[in-house]
Amino acid sequence: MLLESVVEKARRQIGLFTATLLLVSTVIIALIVYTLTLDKTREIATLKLIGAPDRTIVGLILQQALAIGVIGFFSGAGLLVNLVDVFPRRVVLLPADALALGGATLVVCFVASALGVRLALRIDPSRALGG
Amino acid sequence: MELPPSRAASLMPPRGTKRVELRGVSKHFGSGSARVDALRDIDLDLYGGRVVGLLGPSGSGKSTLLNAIGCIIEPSAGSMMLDGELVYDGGWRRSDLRRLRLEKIGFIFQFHNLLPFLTAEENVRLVLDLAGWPQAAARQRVAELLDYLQVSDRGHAIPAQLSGGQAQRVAIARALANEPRIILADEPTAALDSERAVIVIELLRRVARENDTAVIVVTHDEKIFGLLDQIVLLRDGMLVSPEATEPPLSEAIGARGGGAWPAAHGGFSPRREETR
Repeated sequence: MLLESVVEKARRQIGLFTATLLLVSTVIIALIVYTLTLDKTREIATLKLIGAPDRTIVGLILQQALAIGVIGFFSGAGLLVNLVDVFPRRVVLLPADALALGGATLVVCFVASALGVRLALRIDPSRALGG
Repeated sequence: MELPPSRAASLMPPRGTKRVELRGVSKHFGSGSARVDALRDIDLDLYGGRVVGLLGPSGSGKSTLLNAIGCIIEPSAGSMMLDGELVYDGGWRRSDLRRLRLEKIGFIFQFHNLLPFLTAEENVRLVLDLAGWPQAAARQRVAELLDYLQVSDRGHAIPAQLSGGQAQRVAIARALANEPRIILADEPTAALDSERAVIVIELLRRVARENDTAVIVVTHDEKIFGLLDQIVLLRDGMLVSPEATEPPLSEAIGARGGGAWPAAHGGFSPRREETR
């Protein structure tokens, strides 16, 4: 009973850390996507001007966010697998947990891209004109 | 015998199909004391086969007119027909303006605006993909266009690997990709030296004649004035000289920077009625 309580406590702590990290990751990815979108204002305006529909623009932003997420996930997973023995505590790595984390990463990327998508959709096509 | 540019410009090419018809087009921004009339009761017909220069000092309404014809901003009043289709008549007559632009209008920009992460071929291909061309036809069209514009050997280069003139040719290829009947060019030669600027305008003249396309060029670039088939002068949002075939070049040059314009054009009076 005591053991179960300790395990449960540790599980909650890890869960809290994970949630915090996911939240921080979301904010960081959102800011990166927003900045990258801001850098591409003229290109996005050009796309709109030559007739690209919103779904094409949204697709570009999502691809960008997903690329960040995929690179981040596999970099993190690679580091974890290679560095796990360096840490003194025993860590159990389950494929199901990795899959769940991958799914969470995807969700984080979609949520984080919202700011960039909002910005992209508001860009006026006339921004492509003029110096 | 080939005519020198200045002589050729004085000979108005035959009218092609009417591509742009504006009637009473006005555009204002703001209201009350803050109201600015950017365009006032513009009547204008533009035809295929010609390169038309849209000139005027800063704040004369050139960009607003270009944006209105490009369906980027909505006029406040009047009517507008593009390539025989009524697109504005007190309100947009089409809900999907991007599709309208894709079908009817090609855009050429001051700094080419090619997408930096795509090759020259892919930049041209993009328009065809958006327009839903079949893959084989799109490939062929891209090859033809790059060949037509003499940049077929640079098809796999990204924009950063192209010279200014090459990039602008690729941009023209992109503008032509979906066979638009109207081409809107915003200062297309401003970033080019004299020789390349002349080449680009000659190219646009060829495009206009061979495709019965109306090419509308907003420019302050005096080195190309002599190459334009027709000049439309704007001042304070009004047409000053929409039908001039031999542009008053010395005065138009005064448009640079805008400051000298009002004095240089003191003798002009709006001749709107002549365009009706």
